[in-house]
Amino acid sequence: MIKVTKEITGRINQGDIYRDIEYIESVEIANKEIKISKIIFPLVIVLTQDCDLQQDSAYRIEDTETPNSDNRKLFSIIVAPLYNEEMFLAGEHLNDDETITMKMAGIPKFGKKKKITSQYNNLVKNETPRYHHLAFPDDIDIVDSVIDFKHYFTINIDNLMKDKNEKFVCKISELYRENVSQRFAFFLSRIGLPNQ
Amino acid sequence: MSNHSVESEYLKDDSLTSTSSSKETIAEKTENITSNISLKADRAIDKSYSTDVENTETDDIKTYGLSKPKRVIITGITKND
Repeated sequence: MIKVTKEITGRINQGDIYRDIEYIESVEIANKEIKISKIIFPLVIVLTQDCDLQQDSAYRIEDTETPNSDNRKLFSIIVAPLYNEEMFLAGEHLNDDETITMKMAGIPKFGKKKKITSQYNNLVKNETPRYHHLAFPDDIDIVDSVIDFKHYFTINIDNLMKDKNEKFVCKISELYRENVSQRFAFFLSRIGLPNQ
Repeated sequence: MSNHSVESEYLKDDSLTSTSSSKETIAEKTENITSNISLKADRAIDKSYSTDVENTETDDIKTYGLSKPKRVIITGITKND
């Protein structure tokens, strides 16, 4: 079970969890008509390195019209969605039968003779590179969830700063967020070799 | 009608006193009873009693992470240049 705090700070932190975050899929303009397709994710976690977020925050706080340098400014932050564990295990976490109908591979929790499967064990022990399991304490309002590192995306940092206080849910404590960050970096840096 | 007599009416209801009911079943039946009572004009609803029952049953229910992502499409007309 991870440790979590609900305290809101003045800046965005690595490990922050926000609700109802929009991902812009596409923008099409044709014959003076504009069509925007976006996906609203119920929960996302911030994965950008905290030192970068801290430097960006310091840059924004500096009350000067012409800062010495824009070197510390970030354009966007990296986030990844959190999926409901039960829906994820069933492979139904991206299928609402209406707006999104993605067929995802599920993970069986029980095998023969109702024994816990090794795949599920690996998931909750965070030994599956693509996923990170989060078991939230009982006093935190979030169900047990799974991060899918493959579904990371970026969001504009200015937009998130405007809605930060309204959309903030909680923050994972430092030790646990560093574990998430390290596993995400490992996932991105993996080298896939072709089957021979 | 006094609050005491309304509470007595609740306690007499067999579905609430059934020992075989699960927590979920009791919550559902409580909700049904409350909605039925609201239709009867001559009965006063003891709101504090029904609220206490609801709070007991929903204390451990989490509210975030229950829904799935959804796609939204917005259309509009661009302004003339």
